[in-house]
Amino acid sequence: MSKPSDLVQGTLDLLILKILALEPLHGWAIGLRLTQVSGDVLQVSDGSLYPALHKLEQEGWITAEWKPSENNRRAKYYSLTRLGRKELEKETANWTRLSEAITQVVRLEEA
Amino acid sequence: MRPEHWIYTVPLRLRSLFRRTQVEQELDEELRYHLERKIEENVTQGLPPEEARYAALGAMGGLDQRKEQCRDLRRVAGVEHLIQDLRYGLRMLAKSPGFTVVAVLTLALGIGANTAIFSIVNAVLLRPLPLPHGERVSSIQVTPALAGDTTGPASLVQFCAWRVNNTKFDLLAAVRGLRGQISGKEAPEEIRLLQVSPAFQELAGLRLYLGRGFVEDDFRAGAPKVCLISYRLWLRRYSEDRSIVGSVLHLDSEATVIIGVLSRDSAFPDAENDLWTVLRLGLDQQTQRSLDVYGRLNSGVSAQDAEARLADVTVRAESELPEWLRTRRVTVTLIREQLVSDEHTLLLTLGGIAACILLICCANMSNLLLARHLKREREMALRASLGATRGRLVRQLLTETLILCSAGAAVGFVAGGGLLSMSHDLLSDSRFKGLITIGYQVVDARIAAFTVLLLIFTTVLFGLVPSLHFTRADLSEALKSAPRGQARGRGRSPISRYLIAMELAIAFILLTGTGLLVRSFVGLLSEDRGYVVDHLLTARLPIPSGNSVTPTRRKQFFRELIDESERMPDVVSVGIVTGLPLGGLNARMTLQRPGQPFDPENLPWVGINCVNPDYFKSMGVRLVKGRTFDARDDENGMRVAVVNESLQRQFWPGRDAIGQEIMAGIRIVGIVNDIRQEALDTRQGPTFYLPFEQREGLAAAPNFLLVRTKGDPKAFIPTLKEVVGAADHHQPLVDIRTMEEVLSRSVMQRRLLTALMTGFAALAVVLSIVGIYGVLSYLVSNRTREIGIRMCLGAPRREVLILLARQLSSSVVAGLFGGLTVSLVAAGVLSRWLFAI
Repeated sequence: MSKPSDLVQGTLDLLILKILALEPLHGWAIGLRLTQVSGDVLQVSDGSLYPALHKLEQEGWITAEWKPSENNRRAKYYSLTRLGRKELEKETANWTRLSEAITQVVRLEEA
Repeated sequence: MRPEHWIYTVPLRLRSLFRRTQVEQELDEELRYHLERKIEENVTQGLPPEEARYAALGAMGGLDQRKEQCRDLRRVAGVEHLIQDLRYGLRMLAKSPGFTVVAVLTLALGIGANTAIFSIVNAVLLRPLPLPHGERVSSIQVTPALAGDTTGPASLVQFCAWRVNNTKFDLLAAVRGLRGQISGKEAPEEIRLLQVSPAFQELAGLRLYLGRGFVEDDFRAGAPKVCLISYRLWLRRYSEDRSIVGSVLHLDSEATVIIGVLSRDSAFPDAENDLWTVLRLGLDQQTQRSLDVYGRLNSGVSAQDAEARLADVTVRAESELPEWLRTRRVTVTLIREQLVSDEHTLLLTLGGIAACILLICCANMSNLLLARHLKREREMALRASLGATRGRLVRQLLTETLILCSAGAAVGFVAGGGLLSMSHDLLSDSRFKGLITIGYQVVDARIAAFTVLLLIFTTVLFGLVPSLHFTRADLSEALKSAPRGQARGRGRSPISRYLIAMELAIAFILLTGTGLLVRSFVGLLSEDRGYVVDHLLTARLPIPSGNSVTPTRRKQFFRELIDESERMPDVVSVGIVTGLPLGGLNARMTLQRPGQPFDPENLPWVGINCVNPDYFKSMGVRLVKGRTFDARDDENGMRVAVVNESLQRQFWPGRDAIGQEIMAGIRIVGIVNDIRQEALDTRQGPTFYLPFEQREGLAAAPNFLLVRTKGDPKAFIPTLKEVVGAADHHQPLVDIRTMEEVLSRSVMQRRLLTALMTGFAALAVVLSIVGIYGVLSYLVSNRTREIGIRMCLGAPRREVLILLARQLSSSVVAGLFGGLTVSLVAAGVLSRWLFAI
């Protein structure tokens, strides 16, 4: 699961929302955090992160703000909106349901 | 959920649209930040700076592609492109103002004419009638068994029978239209009044401006007389005095209490009425057919159902009557259908004109655009080779067309106003004309929608076709070829040729139609009318109200009036007559034809006019044989009559009518020529004249006064008023017009239609000429080189001209032939307005 294209459709959105739910971050940091948290299992290519971010922004789930970053340069920080939080809950529930279902199927003992 | 969503998204979209530079900068900065971090990372991993940079860019997968992806996510791409296209389009149009002006005017004409004409169609066909449940209101008329009598009003007896046995109508009302005289503190005045039955108020949806409407008690026998007055009368006669409600006016000398003023829009059954009162009929009037009956059908009941039911009821009610007094037929017609059938020809003609104009405009626009697009072939080819898709190019071209169309529609909409303002006069004299309102004050959603639809239609029709046609062309070919395409007209000219053929055909149709109308109009005016219209003043003298008027007093009044007027220096002669030629009010009666067995069902109808001896001289009616009336023919003289040629022909074919008895004791002493009595385009039926002195009773008594003057007849109006006032100061004097005005009023609709057609035909011809010129010059410019070579090689000038002329000859021939064919059909539609062709 090294390439984002392998991510289940829509999962990238869920991951971004989840990460932003913890604290506002800029694009670069989101990529780092994702790799970090997933223990290097999930990596997002540099290119595909930004279209995803812009899409979420246009949906109204996240909002952006320019702030000085840790290395003292201006960076675009994204944070979750109220709508985004709702969306995250919904997506999480969906994901849980789906992954549990898949787990069930995978665990079936061959008779 | 949705509104909250918008709180976040709407500002974003707006920002993307209107703060584009800032948004772009931010995108750039955001990605650059990422890139720099990546480079730093790569450098710390030991790569040389240059390589670190390439690696970072590679990881991004192309900076510009990513940017474009992000832009697409803003969801305003469509709008952005549109704005770009609009800007570009406006710039291109501003660059060629000549083209733009011609195009906008052409379109303004097409769209304006269509919008104006549609608003007439809308008013007649589509707009709800100004009546509650107007779609169910119908008019009920009867045709008596007696032949010759026309379909018309019903009698009270019939109405009562219908009402008692009514199952198909939820409202059934009768009205009787009359003229009455009101007097009071103000001068006496003749007005139109309507006596109404109880249900009428609800059926017509009469709304009150002041006071109260009729209540049940008002209709009881012996109740005090009450009336409602029109807003117009209130304005004119009572100067908007609000205290008028409750006061008394004298209606035909009977004290009547004004209980209310109706609102301005009371137009049913016509808009001319000034006073409403309760329907009251004397015993002797109960079988007279004087009532206009209207019914509102129960929902779901068809006019046919109701007609069958009423026919049943009528047959049962009349079983006691002798056969020839019975009713032959009861007709129930929905008001809407009546309107539509009255205006049928007008709508068809106008619709045809509108379609023709629109087609011509579209054809011209297509040609203009085609030629224009071709000039821009290289530009398009360049854009295509730089990666613009065909869809994008078509969209660009369509946007330009849309700009043109919108401008055209806007101009046309305004220009259409002129046409609209005269369109009400175009309507024929339908009974329910008052229900139709046309004008910009009634522009409704339907008209707006129509204009927009038309706009889209024209844009697509002459924008899309040339655009597709053009962008399909092999664009690389265009780039390779010389700046001005050489002899490449072959592939494209067919479209232009079809358009030319179509334009010519349409112009031909309009010209033919106009020719027919103009010829018939001129023919109508130059036709021998049988009388002389110049130097003739006419006026109507309605019988004054009140019980004091007796036939004797009326005769005395006329005698005094005639004597007094003739004494005036400027007067040649004075006539009085029952029905003025072309002035309406024609009296008719049935007459037994001599030597035929008495057959009450087939009695011929003949016109009757009571006149004074000078009438023939004043009107200019020519004597054919015998004599007209003179001083001998008074109450004591022998009873005499004058007949017209038509009566002579029908009653005594091949024999001399003079000396014959037309009615018991009345001998014919003279024959006069037939005149145009009822309308300019109808021949006068059999008619006879009686001296008014010998006529008893008031039926068919003279109504009109004619004064033949030496000078301008209008100059005589003040004197006439004085003379009439002196003879009887209660006598109203109305409709004072010169005979020329009467004549011109009678052909108003025809005149307008002819003018309209002429205007449109002229425009069509001009447009077609412009169109042909455009196409031809394009074709020629395409072959300039070829022509040059031919001439160098010694081709005579004449041959080159023939060569070029041949290019369009087939289209011209086809167009004219097509036009001729359709004209033959169109002439059928017009036939109602055609006269003596």
